[in-house]
Amino acid sequence: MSLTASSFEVLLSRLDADPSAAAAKYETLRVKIAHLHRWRGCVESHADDLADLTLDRVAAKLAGGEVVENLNAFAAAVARFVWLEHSRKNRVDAVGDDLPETPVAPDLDFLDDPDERMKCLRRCVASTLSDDDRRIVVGYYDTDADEKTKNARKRLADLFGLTLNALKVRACRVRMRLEQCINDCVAGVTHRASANTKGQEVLTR
Amino acid sequence: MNQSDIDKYLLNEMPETEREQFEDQFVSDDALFYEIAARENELVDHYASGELSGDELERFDRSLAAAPARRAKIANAKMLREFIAGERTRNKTITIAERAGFFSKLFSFGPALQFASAAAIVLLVVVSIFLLTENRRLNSLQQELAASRAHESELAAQIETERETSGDLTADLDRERQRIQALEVEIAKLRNAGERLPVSGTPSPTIATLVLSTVGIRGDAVPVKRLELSTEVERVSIVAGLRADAAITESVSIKLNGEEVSRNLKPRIRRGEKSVGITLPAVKLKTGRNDLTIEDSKGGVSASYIITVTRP
Repeated sequence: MSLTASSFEVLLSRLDADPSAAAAKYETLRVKIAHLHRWRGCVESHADDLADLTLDRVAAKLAGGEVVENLNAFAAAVARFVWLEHSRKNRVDAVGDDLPETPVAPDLDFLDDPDERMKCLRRCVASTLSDDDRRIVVGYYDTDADEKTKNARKRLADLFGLTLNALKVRACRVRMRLEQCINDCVAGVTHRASANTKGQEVLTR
Repeated sequence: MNQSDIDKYLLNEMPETEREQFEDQFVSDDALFYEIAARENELVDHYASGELSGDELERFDRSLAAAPARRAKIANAKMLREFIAGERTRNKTITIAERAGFFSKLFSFGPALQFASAAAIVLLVVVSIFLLTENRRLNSLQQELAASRAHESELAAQIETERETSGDLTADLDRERQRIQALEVEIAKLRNAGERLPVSGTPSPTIATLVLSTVGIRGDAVPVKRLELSTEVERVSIVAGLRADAAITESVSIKLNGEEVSRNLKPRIRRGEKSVGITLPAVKLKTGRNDLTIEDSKGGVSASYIITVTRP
């Protein structure tokens, strides 16, 4: 089931009548679904693909006349189904019927070169973050500063005219964007280095 | 949603049914979703910096097995921490450099601006010195003025005392002259009576003094003064008092029998009484009634006297 222009339009119109607002809501929903997959056990490199696949299926269902009362809950249900499907396929590909009961122990240094990651981080900070975003990330997550974190964050929020909660959300969004860029960057380097290597995913119930 | 539920979800400790409900909730609720994401960042940052311990560390370690994508987050958190530490050092260095470089920045412009800065500083110093000097001079002048005023008060008091003394002397002189005049008149009478008096060799007085006063006069009655003039008297000195309510501030003129005999006379004030003095040739006074009128500069009458002159 692939996404067509018409089914995508149906999904957007269902999210919001205003095209630009609908696009923003689509992006937010996509981020949530990708995280749902990560928190379900999906490896970083597949999370976005599974989110896209989920939303394609939601759009196709809507275009096919499916009656959906709660679009978000429906998208979450589809995401869980997509993840289950992906898990089963991955299990068969990896170990056949001999699926281990316990998850594979994660290797924290898995295909990760700190120098490359730092280069990617610097590149992403320079290319994807505005000056304000950079100040927010550096200021908000600087927990080693002399000043108490709470005071520092309050000062930062005042500087940008935000409430503490709004600053938290903005910092979180910027960090998500930054991490996405870093992961893509690292994945590009890693894939070039070992094209045949695949990350291991944890298979959940 | 409380943090305990969020931790249970993130650390893979939530039963499947509850987990599905929780997912339905955060997919529909932006605030909850970012709350969960922020909490995951916090846990990951604490883990990366070695701040997790005990039960919290064990639970997080276990969750890594169920959430492999978190490995990338931990790696990113370490890099981000390192990057922020570098930024902090760099910012502090810049701040110190900026503070230290204030004066060097002041003179880091071109030659024209350097000269202008130096000139402005010199001008500022000169103006400051000038203002300081002027301020001191002003203080000195103020002290001098205060001393002068005190001295002026002392002198004024002294002058007033002298005036009073002088006034007393004038009155004494007037009285003495009147006594002399009376004596002369008496002597003349005696001479006329054929009595021979020893020649004294003293010259006869030639001035008669007449003091005209408003004191004791009631209503509009004109004071009458009698004056007996001997033939030797050549001039008559008159001191005429002015009414207490006379509004005289400048000068007065005196008319004798309708003829102005003196003008622009400055009244003098002694012990609250105003008066003017005039000396006339004795011939100006006719035998019999003489009307003496004192008028102010606007023609108003300030005092009137009748002088009855008799001649032997």
